[in-house]
Amino acid sequence: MDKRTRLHLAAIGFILPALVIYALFVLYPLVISLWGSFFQWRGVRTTGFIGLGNFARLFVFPNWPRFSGAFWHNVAWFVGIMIFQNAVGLIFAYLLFRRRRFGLFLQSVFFFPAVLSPVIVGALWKLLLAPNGLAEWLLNSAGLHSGRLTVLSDGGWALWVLTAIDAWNWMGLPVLIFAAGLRQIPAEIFEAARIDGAGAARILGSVALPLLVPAISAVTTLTFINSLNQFDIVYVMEGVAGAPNFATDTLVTYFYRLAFGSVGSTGITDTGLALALGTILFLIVTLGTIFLLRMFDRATVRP
Amino acid sequence: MAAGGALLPRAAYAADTVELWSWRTDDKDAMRKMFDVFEKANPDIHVDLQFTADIDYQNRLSTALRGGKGPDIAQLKAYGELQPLVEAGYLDPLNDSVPGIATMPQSASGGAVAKSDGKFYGVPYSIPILCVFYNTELFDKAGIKEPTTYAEHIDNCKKLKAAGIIPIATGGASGTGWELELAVGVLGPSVYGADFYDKMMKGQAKFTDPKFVAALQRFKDMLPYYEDGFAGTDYTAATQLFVSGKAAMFLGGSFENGSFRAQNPNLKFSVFAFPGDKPDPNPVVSAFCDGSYGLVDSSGKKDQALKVLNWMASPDFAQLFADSVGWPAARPEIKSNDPVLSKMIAMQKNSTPYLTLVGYRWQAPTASDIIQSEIIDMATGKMTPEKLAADIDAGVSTWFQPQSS
Amino acid sequence: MKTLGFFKALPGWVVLLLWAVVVVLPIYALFVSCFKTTAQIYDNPLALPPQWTGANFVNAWNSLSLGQNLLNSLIVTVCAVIVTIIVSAMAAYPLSRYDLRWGPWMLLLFLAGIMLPIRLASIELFDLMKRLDLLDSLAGLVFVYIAIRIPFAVFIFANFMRTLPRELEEAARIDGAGELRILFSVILPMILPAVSIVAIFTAIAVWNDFFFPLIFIFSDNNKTIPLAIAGFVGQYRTDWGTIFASLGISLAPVLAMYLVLARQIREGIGTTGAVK
Repeated sequence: MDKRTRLHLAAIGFILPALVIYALFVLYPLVISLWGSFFQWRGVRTTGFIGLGNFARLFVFPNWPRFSGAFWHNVAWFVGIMIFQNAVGLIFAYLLFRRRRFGLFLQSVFFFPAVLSPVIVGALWKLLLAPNGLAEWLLNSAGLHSGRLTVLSDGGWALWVLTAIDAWNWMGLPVLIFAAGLRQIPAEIFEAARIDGAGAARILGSVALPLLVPAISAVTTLTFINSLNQFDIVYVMEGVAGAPNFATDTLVTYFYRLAFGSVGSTGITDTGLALALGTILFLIVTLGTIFLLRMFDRATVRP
Repeated sequence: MAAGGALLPRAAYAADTVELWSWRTDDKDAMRKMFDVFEKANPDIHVDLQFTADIDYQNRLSTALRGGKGPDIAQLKAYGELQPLVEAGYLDPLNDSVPGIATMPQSASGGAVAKSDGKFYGVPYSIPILCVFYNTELFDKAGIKEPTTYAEHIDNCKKLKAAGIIPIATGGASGTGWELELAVGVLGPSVYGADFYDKMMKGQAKFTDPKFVAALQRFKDMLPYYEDGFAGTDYTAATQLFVSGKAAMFLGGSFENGSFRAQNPNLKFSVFAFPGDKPDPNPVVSAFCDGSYGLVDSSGKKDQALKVLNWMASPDFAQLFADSVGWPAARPEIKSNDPVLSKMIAMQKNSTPYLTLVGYRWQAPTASDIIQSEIIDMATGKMTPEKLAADIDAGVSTWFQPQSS
Repeated sequence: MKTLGFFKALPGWVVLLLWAVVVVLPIYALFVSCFKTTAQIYDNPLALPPQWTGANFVNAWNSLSLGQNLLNSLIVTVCAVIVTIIVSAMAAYPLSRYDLRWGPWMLLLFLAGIMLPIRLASIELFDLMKRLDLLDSLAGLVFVYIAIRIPFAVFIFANFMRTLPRELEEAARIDGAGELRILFSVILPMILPAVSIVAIFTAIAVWNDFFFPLIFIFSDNNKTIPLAIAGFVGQYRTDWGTIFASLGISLAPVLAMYLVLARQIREGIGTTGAVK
């Protein structure tokens, strides 16, 4: 056996374990799910090929309000995180970057919530935001509010509150990524800008930002994927139906209800609809991610 | 050898364990005591009780059954919510193996029937009614009595509020939508009348009927008398308000009886039917079969499970059930020493089916789905009763067929 | 000049410290609430407990099988991390060091997994697990987690391995070492930061996962911490003291780990985020 063949065999042997596990538990279910979305289902069995039948049902009453509602909630979540978490995180990262001494320590403090399970975060904030909770106590003491706090049951506020909590949870991540990105920018560039008389904001906006595009790309892509995957916080804080009145419903909680039941604690599932929703979501995530990566790739300033 | 076997203590021989799932986390201790009675009489069977919170129960059960990992006996929701489990083949029919079910009244066994084949798939355990619980001491303190008309009831609420007592406790937080739906069920019959259910089943009336909208409106009219911030309170916290004597009334079902007593044995309370505009000597209340206990098809302990189920279908169990958890049993002939329970059993004689639960949970979207999700918007002023009624009607119209007779 | 610099820097400090308070305050509130009764928490959520009693913890521990759940989370996490590292390093090695025609495509296949929404395939995954009799088992969870974390691990390993000098394994091969030996004795020790990054991030993701235990675990004995906590919170909504205590118990191991590994995590993210 010559060296090339030996290496080839070794390569296959090395890749096989990971490939088998990955293919069996990730690729196979995914492909079968995509395929299954074109069939009619009765319970957990298929009863025939119906092409786009399931997809069509998704766009009519009574499913369309749920589908479009969940979709827009995810969009709102993405926008909310980009602003509350990533934009603010960039500012924090920059402030910390200019304060070497405590910067690293504060970065660690800011990142701590990210290692907590969304279940713990959701449960904690649910208690803090409940009537008689800490938030109500603080707001009432500060005179900004009176009476009982019912923000989690208020359709207008609930989604934004949940988004803010998600931002609280993950703020540390963009801070760290941007801080690392800032560190990679040669010091002379900052020096030159300062000598030119540029203020801190100007340096951030015109000098650092263009050079941070790879970091922005990473953060934006991660946010995109995560905001479409939102489930845990909603489940723990508002239940699987996205109370109040579906105001916090997301595409994945909707999917979960269709796939595993619990629409208002009844066990009725709709497998065909769930798979169709899954296929659509798959397309959105995949195409969206590729688009974002391409866009940022083109915007990257290469030295 | 034989001597050695005789030396082995009897307890070391593992009793056959039958696993039973239930959503009544509030009745945990009482149920344990009930099944201890069974185990004493049947020492070779141990009943392992596992509880899951109501909001997660149904989907946990159906997922577990789908995976072949369910219990031996499962508490089952009634009417429409029973059907998916039957249709998927997860449950065994019990007509032959548990003959006691046939001796129960239709108002009980009706909730355990499969629409597909008309057979019983569970042993019903209770026919709760919906009524108003009230704290007799607080009523005395405020100088009021059980109301016989709606106007008197509002008057009572005003007097309570003036005395600094929360008139009515209720929960509106996420996961508690069923309690608000239930409030509509409490006051419903007093507004739309005892024949409304039959009319709706025949297709002669719909949710958009002014009578039903009036019921929703009445629910809305009562909102000022609920506790501050009820929209953020959940069911358990709301019951706490009543049980601790901070609120004078609670709109609930008979199932509250036992858990109220367990939480506060010193609480002096009674019940009354929600009054209509005119005085009625026999006020009508909503009633329904709360659920049943069924046999899981994939169970490996069917013989032992059937022993348990047959015991649960017996009058002995019904009496024990009524005494332990304070619910009306599935057999109305059961007498009780508990004055509240006796009153509820008497009220059962003038009942109409709980509209949304009994009549409209057969397919998705169920009327309950819609009302449970949307009623909070009506309660916070974001939606009118007319719109809510219209939404319910639009949702159920996608599947509801009136009965032809 | 110096005082002017101080004043210019002040707003920034205020902002940063404000956020630090926002981060720490809920944790502080959680901490003190663990030792109070529900009434005391309502009264003043931020005050120190009048008596430091462990009653809530005892309550929480008894109501939940928290010991068992912690153990389950530990077993699942450790197994998933170890196996993920091994199989991913093995896969990344030839894909980054060998000159294979199909190499880049295979690598792409793995990397695509980072963005694939596996949750949407849960219906079929559930069916698969049922047929393999892996439902309601820790082993089932472990397999799923390994499969999900492989893409990220392969990505990190491949990136680090690519940066090593070409001749590294040649020397070892001349000495007669087999490929496996080369991977584990030569290559991996040179990319220990990568190993620690993969280990830490896999551990955090697996320990905190809620979705898959929710779908696959039914018996109380097999629950992991997130699932147990979610169920508990859904049930005991009024006994805040006990709920806070249960949150505290599940938070403690994570906090302990974080105090030890904060610097590594910080540096790890910096490296990962910069690689794109």
